[in-house]
Amino acid sequence: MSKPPTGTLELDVGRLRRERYAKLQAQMGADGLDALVLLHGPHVAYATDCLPIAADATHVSANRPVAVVLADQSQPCLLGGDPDGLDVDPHPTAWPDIDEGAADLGAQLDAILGRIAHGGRVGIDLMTGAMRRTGVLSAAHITDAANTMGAVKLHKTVDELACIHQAQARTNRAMATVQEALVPGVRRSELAAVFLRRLREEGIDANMIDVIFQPMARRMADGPRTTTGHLAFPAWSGDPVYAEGDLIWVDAGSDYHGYASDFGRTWVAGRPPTSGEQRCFERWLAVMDASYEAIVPGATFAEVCAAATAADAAHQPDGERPWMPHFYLVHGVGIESAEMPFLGTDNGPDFDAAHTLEPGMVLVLEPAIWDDGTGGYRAEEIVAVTEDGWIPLGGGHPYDPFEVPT
Amino acid sequence: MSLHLQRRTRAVDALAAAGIDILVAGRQDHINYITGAHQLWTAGARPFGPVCTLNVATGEIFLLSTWDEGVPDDIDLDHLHGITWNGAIIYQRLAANPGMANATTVGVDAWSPGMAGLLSAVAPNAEIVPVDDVLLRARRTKLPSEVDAIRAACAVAAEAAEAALAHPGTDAKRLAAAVEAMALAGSSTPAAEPRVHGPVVDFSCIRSHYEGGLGRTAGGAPPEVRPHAALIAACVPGATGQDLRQAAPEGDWLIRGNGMGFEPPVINPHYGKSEVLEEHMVLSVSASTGEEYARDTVLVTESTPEILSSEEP
Repeated sequence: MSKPPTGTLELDVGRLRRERYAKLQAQMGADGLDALVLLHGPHVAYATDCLPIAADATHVSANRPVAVVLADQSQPCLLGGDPDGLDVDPHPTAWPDIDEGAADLGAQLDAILGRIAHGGRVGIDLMTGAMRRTGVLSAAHITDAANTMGAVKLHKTVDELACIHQAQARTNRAMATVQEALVPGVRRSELAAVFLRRLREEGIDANMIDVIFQPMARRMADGPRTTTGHLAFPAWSGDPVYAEGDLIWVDAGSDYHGYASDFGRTWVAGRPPTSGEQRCFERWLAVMDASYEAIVPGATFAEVCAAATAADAAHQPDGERPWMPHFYLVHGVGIESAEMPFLGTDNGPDFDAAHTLEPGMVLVLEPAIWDDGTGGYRAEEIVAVTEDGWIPLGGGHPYDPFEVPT
Repeated sequence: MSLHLQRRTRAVDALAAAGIDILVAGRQDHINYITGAHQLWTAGARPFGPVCTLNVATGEIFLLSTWDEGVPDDIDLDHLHGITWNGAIIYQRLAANPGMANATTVGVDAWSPGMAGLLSAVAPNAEIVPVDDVLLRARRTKLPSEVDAIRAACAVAAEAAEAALAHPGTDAKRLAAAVEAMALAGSSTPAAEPRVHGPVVDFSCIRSHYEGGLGRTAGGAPPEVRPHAALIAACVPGATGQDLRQAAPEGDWLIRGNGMGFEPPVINPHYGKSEVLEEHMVLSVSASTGEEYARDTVLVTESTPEILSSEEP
């Protein structure tokens, strides 16, 4: 595998495909699989480079492409999708959500898999009800493809880093225009409209989440009730009209060549931050600095969490950690908007102590600072772990209207 | 009764008739249908996981949501499960679900080997059966308020189509203008992939859980002679897939259900020959002949089909 670079990240599509396919086949060998049958869109994209469509789930799944990877074949099979320009063995479209279509899919899989369909070890990520009803792969030894896919996704190749970098840089540029449109009296739908237009102008077809511009109640007790007794974010907020001084937590994710961005910022409508709001931001910066410092290959997840927690400990009399309890300090990003590694989740301290950072992991840092009554600050930054530390992805984005102290 | 409770009654009745004790749902459309909750929209299908459980006998629901914002009042905070990253917590919650341990039939709307193993562990006496077809059958015909919601979504999609047809420039620029117009009109969530290809445009959106959409060709024929006109006219109660094949034009065509997204029946040149249309179904009807493409969202009535998407653009 090529090493993560320190210079410019340029996508080489051919190399992206070759390296992923080689990793996938090697992992299948390690997991003792004869074949992989993949229906989940990001998994299909990983195996074939047939990119997922960013639309409603029912539409995406109705006649979704299916990938089949055989341990001894030099290219994957792609059932449906658009095989033009891909290095795949093309097969007809399947309709796995309806019984007639699933039966056809079963016949196609039997033909592709041959003897493997009868007692071979087949990893699969999902079956539709129609596939279960029509007995698809009922004679194979079925196992879950989750472990195999999880293993190959964990460390990114240089081209995967390039895709994430591009997704993030383009999302950042789109958001710069959106922030200019945030004036008192504007609606959430108007900001969403600017964002979706600007993403298209940046060459991004795939908006992956319904973009969030959530006005935050200054006191948790005034916000939605939660199972954690803490903040509700990102919650549904309808189509609010923003007023001067509204504190808005922003979250967005788009996709470049199958890889997700993750944009997070805190904005204030129509005025500079108060000194209390600015203090929350500075606490957030201190947590980020301590986290960056702790990110080196070999560091345990627990060590990074401890460094982040220590940086804000003076402001946390109850020993709370500077991130939202239903989330994490860090999540990974790649073909999914949140994937391993997860640091500081409800998997608990033993999990965090048992896992370490490794080169090629991509980390989205998203601490959140909350000062009840004042409000809080939350933003996200993406880095890739390298052999000797980390590099930022996405090219950076200002923290306006907050000021970074000199 | 509020719309989501009317829908839930339909789902519960269908599941009860199918002999299901507990539903474990992971598909957002099924979850929206049953709960009426507004949850974060993400593009594409998610892996199968237990997002919502429904005890068919008692009606008790547990929903994966860390907050009550967007969740109807009939599901209280103590029936919300906060988001978790921990498989052991998922197991404990399912195991603690009243009725799970003694269930004899657990219905699922998708399946994976990992989830099947988990469900077999928490419901050791249960058969795990797919019930996506049961739920989709309950959803096939639409309640009056659902038809209104679909009509409203169609109007939003029409704004996008109009913008794409009116806007000068490259396809990419027209598409950018169209998605902007759609968001301003009330939906930032596309149902299908938006399409602008020269004179051909097609837009659909999800607005308040329901899909509406339409497709047009700039400079195309008037409505009564568009490529899908004969297919629409054939969408009457009792029409079979075979009848619709006979009404279809030469070329590509598709009839499929339209509600909370892409739904059965699916009728095209390959599938759905034995489907039978019913009054109160809402269908997306599309066809291409030569260079012209058209699609509309259509309500099957006791007489002439009603087009829910606007005639213009």
